[in-house]
Amino acid sequence: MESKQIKLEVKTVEGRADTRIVEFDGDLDSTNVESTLDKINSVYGEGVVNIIADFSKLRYVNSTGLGILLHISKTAKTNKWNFKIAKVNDNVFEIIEIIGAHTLLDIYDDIGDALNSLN
Amino acid sequence: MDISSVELLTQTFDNMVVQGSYFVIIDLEGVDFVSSPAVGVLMGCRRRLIEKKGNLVLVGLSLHLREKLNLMGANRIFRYYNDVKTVLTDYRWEHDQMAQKMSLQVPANPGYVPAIRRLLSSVVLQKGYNRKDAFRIETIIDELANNAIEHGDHAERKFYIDFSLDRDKVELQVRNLTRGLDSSLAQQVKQKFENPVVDDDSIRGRGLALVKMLSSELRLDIDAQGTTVHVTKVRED
Repeated sequence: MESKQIKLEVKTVEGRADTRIVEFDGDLDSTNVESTLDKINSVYGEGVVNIIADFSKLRYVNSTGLGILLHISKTAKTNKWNFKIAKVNDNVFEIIEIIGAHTLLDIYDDIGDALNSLN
Repeated sequence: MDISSVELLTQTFDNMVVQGSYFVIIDLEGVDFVSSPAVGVLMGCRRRLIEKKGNLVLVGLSLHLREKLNLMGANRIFRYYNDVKTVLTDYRWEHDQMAQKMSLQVPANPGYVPAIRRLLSSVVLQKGYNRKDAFRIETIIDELANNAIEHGDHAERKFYIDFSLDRDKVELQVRNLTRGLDSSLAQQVKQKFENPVVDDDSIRGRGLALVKMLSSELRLDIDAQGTTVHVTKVRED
């Protein structure tokens, strides 16, 4: 039974060829962590070193989903890339906070703040 | 129910309250007109009953009558029910602490988990819990179901959820079959359950820590046949 639960849309940013906004729409859970990781990995490279994950439409995340976000964030740091997260809803933020991931992830209130934080 | 019925209504209510009947169902089937003084009497009676921790509700309204009553603002005061049976179910829920129970036998395939967690979470929401609680219940079910699938007997290919919900709490049991777990292994599982250790570099292994934080009570039972996780989650608001 293949069920994706999530849609990822990649958007370019005007004047920043090195940056993409990835909109997460749906639920990030055990059924789609692998495809999500593949997708993010495919966005980095060919000059793209910054990803801003727009979580405004991310309804739900579970522990495995958070595991993958932590993994992506860590890989980005190792490569001197950026993985920033913006517009997290309250329920998702609670889960991030309980796991203690809010100190490990780069989280911003809105996309503009995340973009401004890039050098 | 025109103006002439007002006196009869008032008398009937007075008698009921004297007799100690504080929960009243008004069956309006076959009634096609309620005058505004009669609505006033019903409202007054409802107020008196609420003071005595009772209530007055309406059943059997025709569409036509419903529209007329709504014009008088009655829908903001009274609860309408389709039939007496629904009122009684609701009453037992509110006052007898009657729990709603559900048992599920689920194929041990992660692809089923999103539908199951959303189903149970919407039941919680529909029963008047707030969104935050519903979301927490969804998370607990998701994590425990995924654990049950990951750690269950692969030959069995199914796991079980017992779900019980009343006005104050949700109780949940997730059971998988783990035959042949010898006692030292069982001890190991128990220890891991009591003190979940999170490896920062691992993608997995954070689920139980999360469930622990979101639950009011959490317990693990291992017997010869299988492993059962019991969770109680008390309503927050």
